[in-house]
Amino acid sequence: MAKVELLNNEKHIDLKITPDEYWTNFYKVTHAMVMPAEFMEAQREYPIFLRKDTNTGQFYASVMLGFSADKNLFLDNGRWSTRHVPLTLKKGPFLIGFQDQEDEAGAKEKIAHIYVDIDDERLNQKNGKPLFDASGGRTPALEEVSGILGNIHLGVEQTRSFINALNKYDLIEPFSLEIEFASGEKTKVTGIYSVSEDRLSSLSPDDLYQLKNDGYLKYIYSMIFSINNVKSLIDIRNASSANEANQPFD
Amino acid sequence: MGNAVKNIIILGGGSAGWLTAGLIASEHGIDRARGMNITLVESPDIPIIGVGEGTWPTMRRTLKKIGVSESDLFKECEASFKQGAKFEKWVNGTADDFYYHPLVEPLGYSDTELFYQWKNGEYNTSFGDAFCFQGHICEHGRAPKLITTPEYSGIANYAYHLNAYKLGEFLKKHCINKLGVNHVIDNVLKACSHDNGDIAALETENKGLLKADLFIDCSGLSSILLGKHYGIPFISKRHILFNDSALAAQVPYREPDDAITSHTISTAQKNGWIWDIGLPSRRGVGHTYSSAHTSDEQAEIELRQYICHSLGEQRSAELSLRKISFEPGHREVFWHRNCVAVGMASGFLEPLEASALVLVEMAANRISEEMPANRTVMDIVSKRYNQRFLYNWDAIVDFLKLHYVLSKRTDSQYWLDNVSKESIPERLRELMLLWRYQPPNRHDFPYAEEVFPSASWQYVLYGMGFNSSQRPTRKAMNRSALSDKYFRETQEFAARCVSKLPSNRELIDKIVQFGMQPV
Repeated sequence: MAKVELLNNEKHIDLKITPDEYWTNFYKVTHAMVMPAEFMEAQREYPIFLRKDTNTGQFYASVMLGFSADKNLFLDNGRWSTRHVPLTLKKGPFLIGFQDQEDEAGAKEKIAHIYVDIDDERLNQKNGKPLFDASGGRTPALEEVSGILGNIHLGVEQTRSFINALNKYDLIEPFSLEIEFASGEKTKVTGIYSVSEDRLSSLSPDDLYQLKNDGYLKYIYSMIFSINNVKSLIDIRNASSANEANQPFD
Repeated sequence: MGNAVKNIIILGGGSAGWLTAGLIASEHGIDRARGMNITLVESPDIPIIGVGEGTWPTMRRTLKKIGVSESDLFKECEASFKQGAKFEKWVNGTADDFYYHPLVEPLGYSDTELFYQWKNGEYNTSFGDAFCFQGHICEHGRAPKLITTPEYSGIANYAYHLNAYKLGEFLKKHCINKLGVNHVIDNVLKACSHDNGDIAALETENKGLLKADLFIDCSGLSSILLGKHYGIPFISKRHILFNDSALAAQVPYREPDDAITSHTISTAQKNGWIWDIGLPSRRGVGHTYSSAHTSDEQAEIELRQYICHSLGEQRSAELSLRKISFEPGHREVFWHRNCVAVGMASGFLEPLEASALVLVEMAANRISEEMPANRTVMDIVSKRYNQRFLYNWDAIVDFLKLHYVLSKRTDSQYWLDNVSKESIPERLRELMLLWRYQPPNRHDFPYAEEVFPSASWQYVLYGMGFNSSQRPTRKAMNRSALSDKYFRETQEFAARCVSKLPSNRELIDKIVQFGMQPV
């Protein structure tokens, strides 16, 4: 069970965050949420689809990392083979949370704070980079975390507006992905959605202009282009199962 | 042609009026040059009767067509999911006397004669529960879908329970703001006629004459145009369906998070029956009964006793009740000259099986789809319309009567009178004779759009213990392996649904909080 606490430079002064190579277990996922600002980099390596949050039914963008349970095909001996790692995986055991704070005039304001799951195995008091310096100031490691959390927070809002725009123009459609691997094994990926190219191409110039102006057109094309990366995923998967087949007695 | 139908006036702003306006406007567009010009006129003084808090699944298609968001329906109309009806105490009045009329067809319905297999098999469960998973999920209070299921789609077929008054307001906003329907609030003084007897215009108190080519009467029980202006006779069905009175109550939940039942509960009483409809904010509970068989006082005692079970004696006694009187039946014709009535202006029956709003949808859809291009062809369209809607009303009357005819209750004159031969329409008598030798099938209900398909008749017939015998000459139909398979699949799917689907309240809360996605 997670034990989430508000990060505090007295209570957590000795807390250290382990280096990336200790994070492998947390990277063993088949998909990860990404933010629109990541699309440009993500689309060079991963297929980007929309998925639905099972708890709220709301769409979010997600990169596909593998097919079968907890096998991330972009991990090579625990290291990412890609240049871009999704922010939601890089953020580690940290969370953003909001507290009401009254300003001098008595008006309430929501202030962002960093929270941490202190039971998370990526944290300890011996190895890794400290979060605070001796005087309680933020270290570069914590500044990086703070930056990532801020971008995720912004990204969640941007995702909401982006999805609203896609829905407004009726552009989202379920994506059907059925694959037969070189081994003959078949799989079907369900619950993923993409942008309908047909409907996109039938939009009026005014609507397209609006999408461009709002900055959504580049996200839309990132998603459409990214689908080609399904092919790379299949190639990696075929190659990795071929390797396994070649080393039956290891 | 010079007599093109372009201008439409709808009289009355209840759910019937706005549903009709929405369906016609979404299909024919509002555009001065090419589309139709639709005006809805309603009186500022006449209150709207919020009748019909239960819908049929057709309402999903209707609302989608009108172009409103289903999430908004839940947010604005106190909507809840309805997955059919549970009938309690209709057969003999004992505690274990109940059956479901779900909205999902039995599994394998078109493949094999399930009733014979059920009768001969050893399934140890009701006909409905053997081959339909929906009764199982209703018993467990589950919703028909997940929060990830798109708007207007379901895992199980569903309709709504809703606040019909709020539905009218919700549609009004959409019709005016999005569909360009003109809205006039004024008192209509009288209808002015052309020489040929057509209505030329409605004369209003403040806005003068409102002219149109077609007038749609949605004025409710007062039936201002079809009934009052044209004097089209009313055909009473009281000799078949005795109920003509109702006492309605709004019953609060004990706790704000009490379960919301995901089906209508209809419990037979000595001289009528009680409806129980769960909205997110409250329940709508009412007793409909025959004034010829019991008194208002006695009906009130039975209603308060029913409510007492869930609310306790004191709070039940304090609830205020609203009395509604109605004459069951319909107008002799529904479309006369250039005037067609929709909703209660065309007729009204007791709310058993929630036929009121579905008839509005059927009428409005038909008018919209067959919108006469000009006055010359209007008489052809209206003739067919009248034939078809007489059929629809008769089919509903027969289907409602079926619930009474199959009862074995003898505890009051009401139930005895209900099975008397002269109270049963001839078509129903014939069908029931036929069904003693063969289950209801598609030949009994030949239209593509029947109000109640044959599966509904089977659910009620076999839910109430009717028996159809098998003809010995018929080619042996030993398809038990097949029906065993359907039975097994139904039970497995039901168990999966019960474990995976959220409760009705949980899902409705989420929809109000997050909304559903359109895809």
